[in-house]
Amino acid sequence: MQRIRRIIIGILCLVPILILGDVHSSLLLTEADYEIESQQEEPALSSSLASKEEWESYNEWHCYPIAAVELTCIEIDYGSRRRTPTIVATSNTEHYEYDLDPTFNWDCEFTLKEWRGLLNNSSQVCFFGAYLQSLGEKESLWVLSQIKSENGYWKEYESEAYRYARRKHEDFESEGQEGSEM
Amino acid sequence: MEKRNIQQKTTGKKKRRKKLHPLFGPLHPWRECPIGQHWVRPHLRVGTKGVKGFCRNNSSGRDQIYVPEIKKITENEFGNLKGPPCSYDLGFSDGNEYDLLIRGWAKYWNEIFQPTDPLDPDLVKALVATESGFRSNIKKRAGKRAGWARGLLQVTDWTQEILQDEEGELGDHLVNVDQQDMFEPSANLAAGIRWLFRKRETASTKLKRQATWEEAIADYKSYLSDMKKGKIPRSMKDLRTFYERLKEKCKESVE
Repeated sequence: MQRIRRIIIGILCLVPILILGDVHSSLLLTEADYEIESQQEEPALSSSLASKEEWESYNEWHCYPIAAVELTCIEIDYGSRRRTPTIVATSNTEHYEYDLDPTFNWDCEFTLKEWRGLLNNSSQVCFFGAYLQSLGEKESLWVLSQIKSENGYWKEYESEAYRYARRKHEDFESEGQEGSEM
Repeated sequence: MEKRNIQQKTTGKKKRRKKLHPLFGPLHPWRECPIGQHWVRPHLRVGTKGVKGFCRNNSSGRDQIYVPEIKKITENEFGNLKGPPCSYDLGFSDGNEYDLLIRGWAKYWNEIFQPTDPLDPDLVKALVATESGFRSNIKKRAGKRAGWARGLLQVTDWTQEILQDEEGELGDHLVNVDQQDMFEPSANLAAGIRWLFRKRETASTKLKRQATWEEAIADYKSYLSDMKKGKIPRSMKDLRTFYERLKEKCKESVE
């Protein structure tokens, strides 16, 4: 009787955990996904070679229930101010923020549209990113490389958003001074 | 399928670099990152916190340089360099304005490619004189395929695409700049001089021997076939004149 009571209490404790996302288990990831994670020969991020403080960071898979994930735009100042896409995932009251590489001039709305399409009707999502730094107590910043949902993958360098970010400047019409052939 | 407990205490997962593998070192002492990575400079997430600078894997795995690192190299490394180009304005109002950048980027690409006869910064200065007259914001139509030519070295839209094409003819040492960057003098010279090294390769292929730097410039200006036929276009004559003047002027000042 005592044992059955313990099992019932255990199940009751587990339900909110599963709902709120305190512990997430993912069936999304396959052997191949884990291999990508475990077979990284070089870090995804590292300190500058001139830096006195040497560090490296490797990509890791993190998975969350879709309800714990928010897709949004933030403003960054990377030489000039611009809106860039980011993902905030919450777990155990901790916030995990996944930014894209600011080297590329991401179009926030375009990227979010692509991400929303990937996440549509998926109950879980996994992010493949590397830890960069703390943003405060219980807040950390990661640099995102891939997303996986029940609908498939989003891979940074293969994405339409990446191509769009690069293409945006192709049609750039400058205010430069036009001159005649010298 | 395997289950995965995904919420790890991952902040401790940063690993220290044990040692620098020969292929994991810098390509050049001025570079911020190991080969195959690019520099992401410190930046601000507005309303939250500053983000530290870091190195990140390139999509190609090859050497790619982006504008933030071009700017960083310019600021940190060029100030103390000495040597050519000759400080003579060639009659242009901004003729000496970009000497530091010409000197720096010629040195950088010479050290990357290590040609037996290095590119002379005076020749680059003469090329800038013929291409743009030292006007960094100039833009000219360069043809249907080439698009617009921009900035000091009149880097065309087509060239700019090739410079960053991971599947393209460059193979390595890509320069990731966009059209707007081409009005920025340092980015323009970094890209244009890189392209000149490529043009020396293409000229050598066309001539079936090692091309001279003048022939590389002729190919840069699309005049190599004229030159092969013995025709010297005006732009090439001007180049020679400017180059000779620079050499004479600095020879005089030494004497």
